[in-house]
Amino acid sequence: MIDSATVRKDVLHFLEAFSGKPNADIKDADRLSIELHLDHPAFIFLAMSLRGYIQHLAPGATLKTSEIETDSFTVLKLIELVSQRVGL
Amino acid sequence: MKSVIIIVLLSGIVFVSPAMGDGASEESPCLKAFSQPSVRKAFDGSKDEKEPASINYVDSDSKGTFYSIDVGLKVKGCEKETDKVSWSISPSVEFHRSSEREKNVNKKSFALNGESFIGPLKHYGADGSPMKDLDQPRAKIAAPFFLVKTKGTRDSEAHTATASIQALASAFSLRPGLPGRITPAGFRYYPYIGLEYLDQLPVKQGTVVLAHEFSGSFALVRLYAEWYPLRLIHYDRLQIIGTYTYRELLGGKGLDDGNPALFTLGVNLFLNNDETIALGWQLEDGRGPDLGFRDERAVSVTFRVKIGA
Repeated sequence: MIDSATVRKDVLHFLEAFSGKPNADIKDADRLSIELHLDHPAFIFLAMSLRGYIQHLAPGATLKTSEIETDSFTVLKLIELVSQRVGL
Repeated sequence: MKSVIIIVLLSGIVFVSPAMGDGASEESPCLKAFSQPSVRKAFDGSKDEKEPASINYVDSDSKGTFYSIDVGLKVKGCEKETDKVSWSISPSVEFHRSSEREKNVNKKSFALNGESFIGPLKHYGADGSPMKDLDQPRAKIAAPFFLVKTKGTRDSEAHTATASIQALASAFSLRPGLPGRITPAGFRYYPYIGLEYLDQLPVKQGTVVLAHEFSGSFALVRLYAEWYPLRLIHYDRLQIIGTYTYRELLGGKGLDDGNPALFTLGVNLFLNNDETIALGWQLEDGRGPDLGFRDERAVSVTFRVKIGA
């Protein structure tokens, strides 16, 4: 059974891979596109990776790129969204 | 002085299907193709994309009586997103009509944009070390992606038609040094290869023809590079973008000066945290399709304000 702390840690690791920034510089980011410099292909592949993660934990659940590729999307919102999709 | 203006604005319409956004998998990629139409003044990449469509009736002493219609309709089209692939196709149509004296407009255009991304990807940490716990089975070091843009415009007043088709392929990776991966110092790049077909009108200044009409196809190579030079000190507002595009003529008529190449360099300084206001400087040097492949060197300074999402 997955818990919130593990989901938070994993989402931060995904963001580390896509932003090239260490965890310490990511956790408080308010805008994924600006502070982490995620461009359109990065959002597409990040969403793809997160779908794989979510479906592994909660078969049938998913998320769409358009849900996270917005100007004001924060790290906190992403953690909440993934947590919700895996049933936490 | 008589002046009557009636304007009807057609707001952007969005119908959200109740099934969307609940995180459930969707079966058919085109089932909801027409469920989210957007209506705007135009879909040409300009500020008109933020404007509602309009129907105007004008009665004025200076311009006489005329009407104008500017409508662009874009639908979500088809899309499919799984843990291994993501693709979408979005069509749009536009109609622009004005009966104003000496400025008659009657244009119809159709555009189709498509993109396809094929994963999944291997993940690497900020220090470049593999993050195997995050990888899906059969994850790849680099993943290809494809972009297709087509547009056709018919001008019924001038009795002309233009068309363009561009298909590009590139790759994305999270491994340091490869395309797509942004470095701690804020640098990333993408190489593109592709094909392009253009059917263009002559470029004129008054009655002087600056560039002849062109109809033909190219093989295209492009290198795109982007740098946030102050990323290491957490200052995200300075951006430098460079592109180099080389076109190899495959066939066609109207291009007399060999294979065209175009270099662009841009610097953007965002003036607020939301990056909605920016000062920009851009250099263009070479021959590009916007000016009919005429050799140009131009420097421009811009002040840009982005309104809306």
